[in-house]
Amino acid sequence: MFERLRSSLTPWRVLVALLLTLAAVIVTVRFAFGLGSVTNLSDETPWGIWVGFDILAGIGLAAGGFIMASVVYVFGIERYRPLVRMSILTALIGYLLFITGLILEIGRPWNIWRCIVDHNFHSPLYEIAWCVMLYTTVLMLEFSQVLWERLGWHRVDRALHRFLIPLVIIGALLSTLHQSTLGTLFTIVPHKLHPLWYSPILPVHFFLSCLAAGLAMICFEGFLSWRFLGHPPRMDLLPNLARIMALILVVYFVFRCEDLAVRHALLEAFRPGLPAFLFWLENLLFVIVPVVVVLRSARRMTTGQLFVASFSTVLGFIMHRFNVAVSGMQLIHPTGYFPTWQELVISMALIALGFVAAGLAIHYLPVTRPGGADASAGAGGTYRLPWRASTGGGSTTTTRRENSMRPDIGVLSVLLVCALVLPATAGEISVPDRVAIDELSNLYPAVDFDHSMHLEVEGECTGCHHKPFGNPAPCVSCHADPVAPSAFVHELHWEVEECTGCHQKQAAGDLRCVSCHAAGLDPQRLEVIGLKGAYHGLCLRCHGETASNASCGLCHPER
Amino acid sequence: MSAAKGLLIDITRCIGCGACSEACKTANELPAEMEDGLTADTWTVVSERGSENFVRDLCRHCIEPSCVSVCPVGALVKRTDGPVLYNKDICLGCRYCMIGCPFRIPKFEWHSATPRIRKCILCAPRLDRGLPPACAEACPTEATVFGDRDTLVAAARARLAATPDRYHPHVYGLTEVGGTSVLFLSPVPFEELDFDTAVASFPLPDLTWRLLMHVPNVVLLGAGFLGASYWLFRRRDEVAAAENEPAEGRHDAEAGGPHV
Ligand code: SF4
Ligand code: SF4
Repeated sequence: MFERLRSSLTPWRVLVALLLTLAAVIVTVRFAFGLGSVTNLSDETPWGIWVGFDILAGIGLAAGGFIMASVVYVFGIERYRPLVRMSILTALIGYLLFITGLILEIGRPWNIWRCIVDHNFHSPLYEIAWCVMLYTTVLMLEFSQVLWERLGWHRVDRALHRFLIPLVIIGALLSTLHQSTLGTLFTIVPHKLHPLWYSPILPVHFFLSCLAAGLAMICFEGFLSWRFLGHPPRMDLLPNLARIMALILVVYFVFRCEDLAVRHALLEAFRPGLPAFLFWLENLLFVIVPVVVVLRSARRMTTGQLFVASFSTVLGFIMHRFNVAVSGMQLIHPTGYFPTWQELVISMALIALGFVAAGLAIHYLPVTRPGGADASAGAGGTYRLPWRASTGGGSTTTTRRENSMRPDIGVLSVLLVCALVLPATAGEISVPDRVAIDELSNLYPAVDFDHSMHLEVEGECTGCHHKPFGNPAPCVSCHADPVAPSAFVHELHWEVEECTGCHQKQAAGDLRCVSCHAAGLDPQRLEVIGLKGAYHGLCLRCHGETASNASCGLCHPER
Repeated sequence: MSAAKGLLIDITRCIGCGACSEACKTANELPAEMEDGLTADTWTVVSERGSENFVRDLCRHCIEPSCVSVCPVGALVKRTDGPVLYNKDICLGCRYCMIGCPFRIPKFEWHSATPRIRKCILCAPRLDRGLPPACAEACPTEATVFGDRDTLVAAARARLAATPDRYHPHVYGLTEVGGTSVLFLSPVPFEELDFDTAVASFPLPDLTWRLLMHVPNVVLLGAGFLGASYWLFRRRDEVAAAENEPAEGRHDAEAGGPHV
């Protein structure tokens, strides 16, 4: 008896036990004396490591569950089936830990059920709450298969199987929604988050990056379960996942840079300082290292390379989420937040809990078996297509897709095209080639204005047209961008115009200068420069400098 | 429905006496100790910023408040007559309102086991009794005045027009984040007084809504895409299976499949 106890007391187990005990104490203090008693959170820094790491990063890393389930069940890429259960298990554990972390994190957890009865469709957090609730249920159902199998309740298993495909599809939809909406959370604070991380389309960043992180986590886990449980990693499958991950990372990075460029924030990444340092460190870990390792591994990837690539991605991903939720805000409004040891212990305890749960599940449940077929059968073993599962592993159908990279490349090229095309379409605006300036034709003959040439000389629309707020931004930030906020300077306008004055015109599509700058100076609105003054002022700003270019005849033909 | 009320705070008139913040403490039964900045127990403070300029800080009661928009359970609501109010009974304590507020106004009871979000309530209970907010009533110099927001805007403009050299020509709060119920006039540019002049001039909730409104589209398109993919790949594999398997096996497969 005593011997058995001693043999089960490995140093790791002792460490985990200590960690969990300590965490229990901290949790007690937290509930008795409030969040302030164990964290460095404050009115200045309302969200810290528990949100950045436990919640944002945790959910992203659990994305592997919906990815693998979709890949195998929906897209029918059968050869990845041996990984499905494990990734669903990880996702389930991840979400359960996330919910645990959330209960510690929020101030009034006894009200958590309120999300169900009190609705605010405008709140991203409301959407996330619902998706997480539903998706955790889906994950439980998906994973319960393993339980029924273990218990030998084949009838339940079969009944569930009937709904497996709809479940997987619902799970994928819910995941797409909340993984991206986690990014939407931060779109409401444009001036509180550093421009290197803020984007009005943050949800797209979050979604793309969670795909890579989910895959990285599966690879990383393969490594872990080898290290700790002695299951050899599936080197027939994982390297392929790592390659797909690398491709997604490239797409993500191109998209990210393009997005920065469109918003004139790319330069920030090259201005020496903390923001640029954090940006590059994050992307070094998240994108550059893994992509380089994967590229260098060429045909045969070693477990070491797989480990480095996936681990680096996981770290970089955590850093990205942390930068958005905490550091990126600190860069704008430094508050000197650094997590307390208690915050760190809780975060580590959650990870430890995850390990324990995964270890137990793997030990007691048929997790590593790919849906009835034995994992040890390897790539050439028996597979069951889901819609034929109840025939009981008799068929050894392999399809062409099983051993080819083609579907992966197909999916990725779609992604790549999206990444390239999306920002481009965001910037689409119809720019006239020539413009007839004829509003004042009672005073002057119409001016035939070479718009294209001036645009080329000036470089950007805002050289002449009204400048949006803050940094120069292209006209599209007001007029054609389907995503970015309208950034027109109201400051200059409210004093001279009732809101409805402009907005009705705008709604009617009237964006001509004359709709605000009256052709004949309006005595009621002396503050607004008249059209004549506006045009001449604008032209003479450049042409006035070189006298030879400033003659009337340059624009106005003789009558 | 009563008209939207608001406060006009004229920094050129403020002498920094602090009567407003004291009146606030009394009216809202807050601990009397005055703190340097806003906290859960101090809902408005007057502080000297720049030279000889006294600035009040308080909830701006935005016309389209970020805090209301982000709260997952609607624990914060904007009343039509102006105040943005909080209901602790449904609040989760997630503190997203603190993150979302462009002016960093909502504060949290960090050392309580049952923490609440706390901030200025524009003395809503007093408004209900037909009284002005305590701060406006207490101000000796009429640096803070209370009234219909429209009237206040007109008054602010009139002041700017009548004595332009006294003022920086801008009413802060008229268009910031789409307009707030609390308006400011200042003798110097607002950034010199630590006002955030980079805030957008449109309601910030637009930013999240223009994304969230696509949720139904994502669901429909996603379901269509995934459903179609499933159908497509399943067909392909069935055909492949049919070609490979003997007749009996095919029969078996058809009979057993849940989706045939
Ligand atoms: S100032 Fe902040 S707390 Fe007050 S209404 Fe506006 S968003 Fe809400
Ligand atoms: S802390 Fe309370 S009031 Fe603030 S957003 Fe969360 S639930 Fe709403």
